[in-house]
Amino acid sequence: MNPLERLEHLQKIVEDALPGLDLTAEQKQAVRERAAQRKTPKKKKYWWALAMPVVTAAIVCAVVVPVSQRSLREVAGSMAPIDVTDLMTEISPSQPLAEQGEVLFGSVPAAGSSQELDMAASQKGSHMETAQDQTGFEQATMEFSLGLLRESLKPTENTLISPASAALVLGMTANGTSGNTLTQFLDVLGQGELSLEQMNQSYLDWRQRLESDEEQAVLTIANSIWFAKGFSVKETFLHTNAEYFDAGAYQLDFSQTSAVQRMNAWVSEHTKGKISSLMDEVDPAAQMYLINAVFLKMNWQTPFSESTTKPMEFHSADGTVATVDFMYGVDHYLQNDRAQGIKKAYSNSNYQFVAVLPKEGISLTEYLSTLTAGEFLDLVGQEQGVAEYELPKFKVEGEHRLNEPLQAMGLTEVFGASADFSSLSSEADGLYLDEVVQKAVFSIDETGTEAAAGTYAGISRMSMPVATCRLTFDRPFLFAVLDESGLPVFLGTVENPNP
Amino acid sequence: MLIFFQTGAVSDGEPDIERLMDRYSQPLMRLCYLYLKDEHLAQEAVQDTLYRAYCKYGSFSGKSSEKTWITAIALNICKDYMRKPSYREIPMDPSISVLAGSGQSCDTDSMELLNLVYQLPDDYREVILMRYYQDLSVGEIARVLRKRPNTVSVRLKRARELLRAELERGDRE
Repeated sequence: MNPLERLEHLQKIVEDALPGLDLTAEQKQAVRERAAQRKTPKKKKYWWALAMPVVTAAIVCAVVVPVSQRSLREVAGSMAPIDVTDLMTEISPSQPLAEQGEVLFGSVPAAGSSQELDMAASQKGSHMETAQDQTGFEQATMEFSLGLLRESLKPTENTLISPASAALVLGMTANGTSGNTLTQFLDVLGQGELSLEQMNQSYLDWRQRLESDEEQAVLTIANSIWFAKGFSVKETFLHTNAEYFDAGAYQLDFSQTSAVQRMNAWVSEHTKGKISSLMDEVDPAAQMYLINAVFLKMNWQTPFSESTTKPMEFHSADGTVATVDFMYGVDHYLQNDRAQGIKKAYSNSNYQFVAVLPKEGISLTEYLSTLTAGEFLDLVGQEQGVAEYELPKFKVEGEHRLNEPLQAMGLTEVFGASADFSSLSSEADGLYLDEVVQKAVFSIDETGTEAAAGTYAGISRMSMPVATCRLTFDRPFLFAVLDESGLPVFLGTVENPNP
Repeated sequence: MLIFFQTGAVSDGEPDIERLMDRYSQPLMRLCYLYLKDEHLAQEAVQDTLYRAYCKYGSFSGKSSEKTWITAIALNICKDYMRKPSYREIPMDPSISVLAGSGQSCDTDSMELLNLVYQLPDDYREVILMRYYQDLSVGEIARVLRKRPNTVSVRLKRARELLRAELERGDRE
């Protein structure tokens, strides 16, 4: 028998080789006891069929363009402009570029290229190399998230960002940079403590951890790279982003009006239509767009009861008072010296909604200006009993040009003439990051119709614990959707629940 | 081939910890051991997997087989363990033969193959184990790993090539 043919019998080989490998009787008993301590879970098909889901979606787009003659003069004085049409194609002739709009790497990858991709990835040793960096990554990503929120805040307006979406698109972009430009990316995204490869692996792990395809809890993440016909792109850049970010690569004729339609259609498809038009037009000087789309649709583990929703006053920071619907709930209570909050689970309990209310006398702006990653992670990580609370129903939309926030956070070089995109293209002179834009929508409600709400009320109140605190989110507050490690998928503030 | 997991065994909706243990504890134990290379850690992983499967049974949609679903849980738990800094401090079994009583009813060639599988890089070992030990299809593996089927196919191909090379090298020696 060919030695490899024995693989077909691997099951029997393993059984023969490891005959006695099993849990001990004591360990099985321990599993029984753990299970017995938990109420038997039931299928929730009817429950969820009646629930109205929370839907959020966000996209981020980064644009890499060659510096135009005019802008170069503005930024770099006498530096000579480049001729866009001279950019050469450097991908090997043995792996020809796909035709216009055809996928290069992505859902239908080129077989040969993908093979090399996998080989390269396997040689890196996968998860083992970055296991020890997980805590550092989480801390760094939390710092990045809060920094981005702080820098994006507009006084007295609602704010919504998706740190996950922004981090992933910037992580892809970072793989095209070198030198000090790359150093700044690593400083902003990883607090300077992680190498690019460690960052890539951490993003891969995070992305895989985030994604959820359960019936009642959907979170999808998609990445793609779109580049202009005639623009040369380094193969390693595409390979790395395909392997770590699962980014599809597409070549388009940016001069055609259909180009913007193609990219918008991709975004719309991956946000289930929630973000249907990201771009109005393609910048004439654009050479590449890196796009991320996040779609989240989750039901509460325990829905709010519509019968207990009632109108109450919300007091905005500017003194205005609005009457909006408040939902009533009882969930985990969070508290420290400066703030109180609640944490409410989604049906996939790896995800939590968090609302944080600064204590009386501390404005939300003041609170956020000094909030650190450590303080936030400690706050959301330590449940202190349960709280009764009233939370306004709200829908927040965010559209942010993230250039200025990112520059304020230290990512400066990539936006200017000294940007180093030598890892993206062999003709990188003049390439810089033109803009980073994010749109997001977020809404929460009781998740149900009147008929369904009654049913939900009965269920939610059956196991209601004794409250240790009562909170009313009737003034500006911070909210987030967190993954199991406490990192925010969405992060925002509510200054006015009914804008 | 014997299928130790009940392929396509979608439950009737009522989780039963005894049924889960009877059906999956031993195959999961072997899988987790071959993945984590430490018997005690594998035992912890299997206990966690069974408990998590029991608790999460309400979210099992039935779109995949129960086997695929529980394999994904086990794999994620194993990966969580491997991410912990403490995992690196655990002296991993260098080969399967160090396990007491292992390999007694296995011929030399089979044991050699299994040890080569055991020593494959993590991402190759996992696809080989899922394909040939758990009898998952490429599509099912892709679903568990959240990779494209093409990626899984290529990884399987590379893993087989590596095994072949090692087997040929062993023969020459």
